Amino acid sequence: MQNPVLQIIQSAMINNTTRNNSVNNMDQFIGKLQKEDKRNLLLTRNFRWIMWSLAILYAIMFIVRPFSTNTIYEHIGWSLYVLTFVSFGFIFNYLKKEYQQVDYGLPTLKMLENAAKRYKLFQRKVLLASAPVLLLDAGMVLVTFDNENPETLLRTILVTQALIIPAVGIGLIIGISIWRKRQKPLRDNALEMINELNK
Amino acid sequence: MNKNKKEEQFKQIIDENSDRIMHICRYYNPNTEDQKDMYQEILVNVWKSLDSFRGESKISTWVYRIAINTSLNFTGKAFRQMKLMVDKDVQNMNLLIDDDKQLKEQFETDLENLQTRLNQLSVIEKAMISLMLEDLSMREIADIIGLTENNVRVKIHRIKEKLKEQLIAKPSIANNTISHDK
Repeated sequence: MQNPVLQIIQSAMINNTTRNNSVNNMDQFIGKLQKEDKRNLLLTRNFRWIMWSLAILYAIMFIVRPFSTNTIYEHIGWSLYVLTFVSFGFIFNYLKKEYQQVDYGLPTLKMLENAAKRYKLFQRKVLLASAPVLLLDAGMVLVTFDNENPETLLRTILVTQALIIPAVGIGLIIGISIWRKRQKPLRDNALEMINELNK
Repeated sequence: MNKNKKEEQFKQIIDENSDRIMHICRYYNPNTEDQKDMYQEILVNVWKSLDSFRGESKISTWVYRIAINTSLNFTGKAFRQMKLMVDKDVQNMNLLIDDDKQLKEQFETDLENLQTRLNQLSVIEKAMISLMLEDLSMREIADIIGLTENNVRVKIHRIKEKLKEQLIAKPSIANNTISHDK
């Protein structure tokens, strides 16, 4: 599928034969680029709003708690749910910015080094994304834990892990497959070129 | 950056550098459609990178960086097969050979052979040659690629030597035929 930005420019620059035409098309071209920028910004905002809405929804449920047994564990558990969505929102925003801010104006070697870093499979920044999962995990344990039967704690933890671990595992498998297909070749090419430049 | 200011700056940059961008596109794409696509891709990247431009380098250097960096990405999966196209219209072709008059003539008369040799170079070597054909100084090429001036000088010298060796060792079929006929 062709890059939508390219489609926009192509349509804007067709028959770009004379200087006057070129200037007119350039105005149209810039207008479409700005629209595209706006659209990207809107997409990021929408996702952030979904995360914020979920955080607010869970915060309300935390306050109202229709099915609550009102234990301290439950209080903490619901707070962790809220934190999960808040941190998802922030982390998504941060990672999206990182990926979008590819500066092609950097010296080639620097740009390649940045690309190799950006397309690395396991990097500290991506590990950040595991923080909300851990919060969700802890939240689930605390909310479902039966306070009156402390001996059930281990069972609650195991049941929660039985749900979370396969979900995370499936997510990882999908993520790694996508990385191998789309990003690994880019990283390999970048590393190869860096190697050649440093020779 | 202010929306109108960005627009103005973008227009000015493209206005002043469209020839440079077009040259780079021509080096890497044999047909006009592909050249047009790459030109547009470079424009998109100029727009995207404009906010990060701090004026630490000359605008032309910055534009060349974007053009070269885009060319490295533009070819995507096929980047190893990326070709460097030269034709008789390319000025500064003589820069490829320093002092060897005979080889210079060979280059000019046997463009196809030169083309084959150039395409055997690595992607990075092709990028350097394209910048050299633009008659940029070693300092400017170093600024674009991100290496030291000396390093660039050494690399370009090696490329030229490699080309020279290949042309001496394996003269073109056309030349062989001519000499055989004689």
